[in-house]
Order: sequence, then structure tokens, then C-alpha cells
Amino acid sequence: MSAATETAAPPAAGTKTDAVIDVENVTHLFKAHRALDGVSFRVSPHSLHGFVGPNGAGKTTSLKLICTLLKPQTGRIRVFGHDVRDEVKAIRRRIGYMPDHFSMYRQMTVFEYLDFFGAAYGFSLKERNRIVADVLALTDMDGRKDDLIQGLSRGMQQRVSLARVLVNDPDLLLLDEPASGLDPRARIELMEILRELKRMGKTIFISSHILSELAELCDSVTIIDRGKTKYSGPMEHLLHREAEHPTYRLRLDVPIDGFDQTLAAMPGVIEVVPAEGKPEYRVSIDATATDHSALLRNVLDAGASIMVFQKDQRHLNEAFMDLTERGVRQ
Amino acid sequence: MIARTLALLHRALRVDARMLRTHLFRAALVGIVIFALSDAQNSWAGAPGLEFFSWLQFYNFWFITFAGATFFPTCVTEEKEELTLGLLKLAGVNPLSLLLGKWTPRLLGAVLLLSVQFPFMLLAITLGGVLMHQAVASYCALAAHLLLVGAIGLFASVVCRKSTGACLLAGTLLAGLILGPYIAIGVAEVLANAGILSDSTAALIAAACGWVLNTSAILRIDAIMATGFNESPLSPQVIANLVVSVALFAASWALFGPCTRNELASVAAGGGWWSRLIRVGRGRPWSMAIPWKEFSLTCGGAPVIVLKGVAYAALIAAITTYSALAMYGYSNPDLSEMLAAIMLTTMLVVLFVEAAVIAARIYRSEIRDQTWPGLILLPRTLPETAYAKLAGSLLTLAPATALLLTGFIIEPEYLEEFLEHVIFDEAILGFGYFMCQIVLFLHLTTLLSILWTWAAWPVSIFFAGFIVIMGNALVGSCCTLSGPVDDEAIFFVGSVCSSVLIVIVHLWIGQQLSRLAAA
Repeated sequence: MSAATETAAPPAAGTKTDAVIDVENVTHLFKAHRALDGVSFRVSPHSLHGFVGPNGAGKTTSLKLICTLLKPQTGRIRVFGHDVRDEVKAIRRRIGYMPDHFSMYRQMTVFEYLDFFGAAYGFSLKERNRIVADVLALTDMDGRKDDLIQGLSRGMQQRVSLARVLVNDPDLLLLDEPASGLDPRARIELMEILRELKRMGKTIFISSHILSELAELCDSVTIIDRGKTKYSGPMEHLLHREAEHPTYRLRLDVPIDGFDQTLAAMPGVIEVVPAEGKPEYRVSIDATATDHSALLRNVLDAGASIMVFQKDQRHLNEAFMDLTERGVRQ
Repeated sequence: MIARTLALLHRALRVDARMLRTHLFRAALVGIVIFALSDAQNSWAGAPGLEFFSWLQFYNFWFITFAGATFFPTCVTEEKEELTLGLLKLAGVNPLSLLLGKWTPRLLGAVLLLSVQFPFMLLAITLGGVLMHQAVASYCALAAHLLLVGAIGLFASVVCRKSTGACLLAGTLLAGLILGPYIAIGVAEVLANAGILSDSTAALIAAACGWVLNTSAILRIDAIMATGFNESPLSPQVIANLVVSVALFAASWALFGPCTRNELASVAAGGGWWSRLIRVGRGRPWSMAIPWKEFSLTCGGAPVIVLKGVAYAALIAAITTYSALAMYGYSNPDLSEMLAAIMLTTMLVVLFVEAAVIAARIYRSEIRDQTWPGLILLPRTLPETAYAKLAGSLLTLAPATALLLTGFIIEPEYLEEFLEHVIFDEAILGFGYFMCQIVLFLHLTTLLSILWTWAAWPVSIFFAGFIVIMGNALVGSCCTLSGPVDDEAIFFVGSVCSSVLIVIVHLWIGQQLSRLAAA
């Protein structure tokens, strides 16, 4: 599937009226370098929206534009219906931005750091006590609240950074590579926190390179490459887009010689890919000519003993590779 | 070893040659020399070459001293701060190669920077009044001084963990070397007069300080420029400077290992004692959170305020005691008047220095530590955040301001005199112009500190001062060239022009802060 086809009609992740983030034909240049080139996408309320792209694709620039650190040169960005150009304060009250690098006052303790941001957002002492306790509990940092930030591990600092973002109880979280550099345990724990935040009704816009976790976590996704939107829409749609040629994974209990040819000869089968070293096949069918029940019946009729039969989902990695171009952006 | 040293040297020279700023500095230096030439043209009398050459050499001395105090001390600390020293060690670069590789390019860079004035030296000889051997002797003296300043900077760079500490140590050592002997001679003399010190001890101190002064390049240049100078270029000053430089280099080499061990831990710890000190009695954030953060974290909070108050009071007490002893026997001084005068003058200087340090550090630390975007994203405008930081920083001036006000309370006549002679008199225009220059200097310091993130913050103070002083010298020169002009008119026009410049720099700082938040 060509990238051009995807760009031609990116499905909307949220309707124009209710979108939390509405990016419309945004172009941004750094001197002669075109960081964004007519980027458009929308993010629905209470969704977890993945933002994926190769290095230098324009992800961080997009995030900085959305969080009002940069002003768009052409096009329009609305966050909760407010224009990022001239309604900065209204947007900043409702967002929490976590950049891809740690930016913390390392000579403060965890509690002081969160307390400081609570005060900076204008909360009273009583409110701050409650808020800081809540975010420490949510990020599982209450046992380390008196530790100096400079003495914490990277994973712990990442949690403090996330806790800081939550201090003002934002409706929208903008997270730039929150899992980069974390060990597997810290990554899994972070994903758990994000799931919990989504359950709490937050909208989360997350840029990440860890596609497997995004596929599991996100409702919708935007894929960006070389400053252009390649896909924006529901994750389901991206992963199940071969509706006309669905693929199934079939694993036999006992190997049968030449069974790939038997499968290929069955009505409606258009492709059979055998796995190496095990009696397993990926079978693509023509949905207009047959369906999975007929295929299963034919396999059983052929005398095969089935161990696994399931729809073979396209992985986000494959979609990403299909939609993005090879090589480093100049 | 030589191959590795040369590799570092080669890389440093290539980087230096590629950077626009080094060429701009050279161009600026040539501009200053040409300006001095045109200025001196008006007042040339008997020996124009000597006059011009003397100016050039004194300017070289002060330039090497001030710029060197911020240029050399960062040569090793920059690697420590970037945590790249360990990588160089892993690559098999031994301490000597590393010291030579990092230090020699800066030394060469300084020589190349100053070499642009070579044609002007020839011009001075052509103009007459200065001989070739005087030129050779003065350049030998300056070369030895440059080596000494470089070695002091290298030593500070090896011993200190951070560039700021290294610059302060190097600056203190150089100030001690240049001003120390004069202060020691004065104190010894006063103590001897008061009977506290015996005459023989005072004479011994004076002799020792005299020897140190003989190794000063500035006095040597003064001697070289005298008519009839006919000494060898290899003077005691040159030899002493070379010996001390070699000793300092050897000390740096010996201390390199112990001082660069645990590089990662030492930098990550961010200065253990400082961190512990500023946490004493910090308390919860105020409702004005940014001023609280600035006061408690950047300026050190209440513990540092108390320490400053004690240190300033001790300084005033020491100067007052010295002055009282110095005047004892010649007159009967009014101690309260003397104390008030010392309090006022000392605290004015302290306030100026503290304001310059605040101006250089206020935004720079946020930008360096990448915490600026976090503050900018608070629901407030950029000016609100920027001025809130300023308000918090100004609280650190409390001890000096309190002592200044105490001075006025002890001797209210000084305040009356100030109001009468400065505010309500014609001197108001001159005072206004002077204040404009101070504000312009502080603005330039802030701007340079955020534009030049590659340099330690004292560099921005030095260059801002340099720009303001040279700007004023240029204005003065233009006024002299244009014939007799009314002073009041000059001050008025100068104040207006300075105010316009202040507004431009102010807006420029705002634009840079906005840009750096998104960088």
C-alpha cells in the first residue's frame, strides 16, 4: 500500500467540532528546513492518541506547537477550541506537557518540586497538600517524596516528571517519548499509569517509538513522516485495513506433507505463506469469494488436526514501515 | 602521546577557525585599535609612536588579564560538565596529553587573537618614539604574563568542578597577584604605625611585596616604555612568570587524577555542601511561587542572606579599622562619619557586583538546565514569568541594601548632600547618564549570558562591561573631535540614546527567552 494513498484521505479521529486537538494544514519552517508540511489531524476527547514517526519526522515540533511553545507559521491549531496563537493562557491551564528530556530542579526534593508547581498554578496550601499526595500516589512515588531529585534513577525521574504534569489536573496530556530510556519494568509501569489516567477521563497524546505498546494502548494514531501526515485515525482501522483480503494464522497439531499446496488449492485462498520449521501457515483469502468458516471447514475436510486458527492482525510495525519512507531525512 | 595531543590540538584549532565568533572578536579588536589610533591622533605631541604603543600594550595587559580569567578556566571544567572526560580517558588520552591538548589551543587562540594588532605595532615604530628592542621586550613581558594567566586558569580548571567556580578562583588569584602586594604593604605600614607590627616585620613584608611587584607585567611595561630603556627582554618578571607557570602546570598535572576521579558522581551531586546549605529552613513555597523558587534555589535563600550579611559587616569592620588606624596620629577622625562613608561606598560597589551576577545568571541557569520550558508553560505571559524571577532574585540584595540604608541612618547628612548636589542640582543629567550606563550594562550582561551559552557566565559580565566602556570612550572621542560641546547637552543626548538602546536590548532579551523556550 503506498504512502501517497494513505495521505490522500486520512480518516478523522475526532469530528471537527468535538476534537480536543485540531491541527489543520500546519506548515512550520526552521530557516530553510521544512519541519512540518501541511500536517492535519484531530484527537477525540478522552482518547489515547499515539503519535508516531521516524526521527526528524516533526513529532516534537508538532507537540511544541500544540502546547503553545511555538506559534504556527501557516495553518491553524486549536486545543479545546482555543487557537494556539492568541489563547495561550486558556490552553496552558488545561494541558500538561512532558518534554522528551528531563527538565527538573534537581536540588529540590520530589515533594518540594511538585509543591512548587502547585503553588505556581495558584493552588492554596491545603489544596496543594491534597494534590501532591494524589499525584504521588498515582505515580507510586509517595515513598520517595523526601528524596532529592538529583539522586533518583532515570525511571523515577520520569515518574516525577509525569507527576509534575498532573499537578494542575490537566484535561489533555502531551507526552513526548515518555518511555525512552526506561527499562522494561519501568516502561510497563508507565503504561499502567497511562491506562489509569485514561480511565480517569484524560485525553492523552503520546509520541513514542515503542510501537508494540502503542498498538496495545492507543485508540487512535497519527503517523507522520518528513513533515507530512501519512495516516491519522482509529488504530483498529490501521491494523485491520485489509478487509477485502483478511489473513488467518493456521497451526496444525501434526505436520502434513505438502499441506501448503492443499491450502493454496482451496476455493477463495489467494496466498499461503508457510512458517519455517513448524506446521504453521498464514493464509490470505478473498473475502468476496469465501469466509473464515468456509476456510476452516475445508481445512478440517482435508484431514488436518488444528491447534490454532485465528485472524492474523497486521502489526503497527508493519503499518509504520509501509507508510514511512526508508532513509534519514535530509 | 604526541599523536593524541596533536589530535586534540588539531581538532580544537579547526573548531576555533570554523567559528564565526572568533573572527568577530578579531574584527572587534582591530576596530578598537583603529579607534584608539584615531583618538590618539588628536593629542599626539613629541613621541606619537610611543604614546600609541604604550596604550596598545596596557590595553593588551588588561585584556589578557580580564579575558584570560574567564577564557582559560573552562578548558577542563567544560569536559567535566559535559561528562566527556571519562570518554577521553577511556580513549587512552593520558592526563598530560589532555592538559596540553585542551590548554595549548586556548593559548594559541589568545596569541592569534592578539596577533591582529601586529601591523599596528610596526606602525607605532614607524611613527617614532619607540624602538624595536622596546617592542620585543614588551611583547616578551606580555607573553610571560599570558602564560601565567593561562596556567592560573588551567590550575583552577583542574581543581574546580564547575566553570563558574574555576572562573572565580582564577579571578581571585589574579586579583590577589595584582592588588595583593599593594594591600599588604598598606596594611603592614598602618599596623606598624599603630605599634601592632614591628618596623622590621613591616619592612620584611614590604620587601617581599616589592619582589612580587617586580614580577608584575604592568610595572615591567611601564619601565619598558620609559625613555632610554636598554635592558634585556629576559627580565626577572619574564623568568618569574615562566617559573610560576611551569610550577602551576606541574601542579595541575599532579592534581588532575585526584580532582577528576568520580567525575559523574561529582557533577551529578551538584555541589554537596551547597545543596545542603540552601535547604536549611527553606520551607513551603509562597503563593508567589516563582520568586520563592528564585530566592530559595538560585540565590541560596535565607542561609545565604545571613552569610552575606555577616561577610559584608565583617568587610566594613575590617576597612573601617584599617582606615582608622591609617589616620591615627595624623588627625582625629569622626568614627561614625567614617563608618557611614565606608558603609555607603562599599555597599554601592557590592550592590553593583551583585546586580551584575544576578543579571548574568537569572535566565541562564534555567536555559542551561532546560527547565525554562516548564516555567514558560505555566498559565501566565512571558513577561510575568521573567519579572517574577527578577523579583525573587532582587531579594538577595537585601543584606547590602540594609547596610546601605544603615549608612544613611548613621550619617543622614550624606543623603541630604546627595539629594542637594545630585538630584536637585545640574548634576542630575550626569547622574541620569551614569544610571543609564549601569542599566544598559546589566541588560547587555543578561542578553550575552543567554546568547553565549558556550561560555561561563562571568564572560558575559566582562564583555558587557567592555562594550559599555568602549562605547562611552567612542562617544567621548567623538565629542572631543567635534570641538567644544556643552556637557549637559552630551549627557542629555547620551541618556536618550542609552534609553533607546536599553529598550532594544530589553525586547531582544524577551524575544530570545521566547525562542529558547521552544529550542
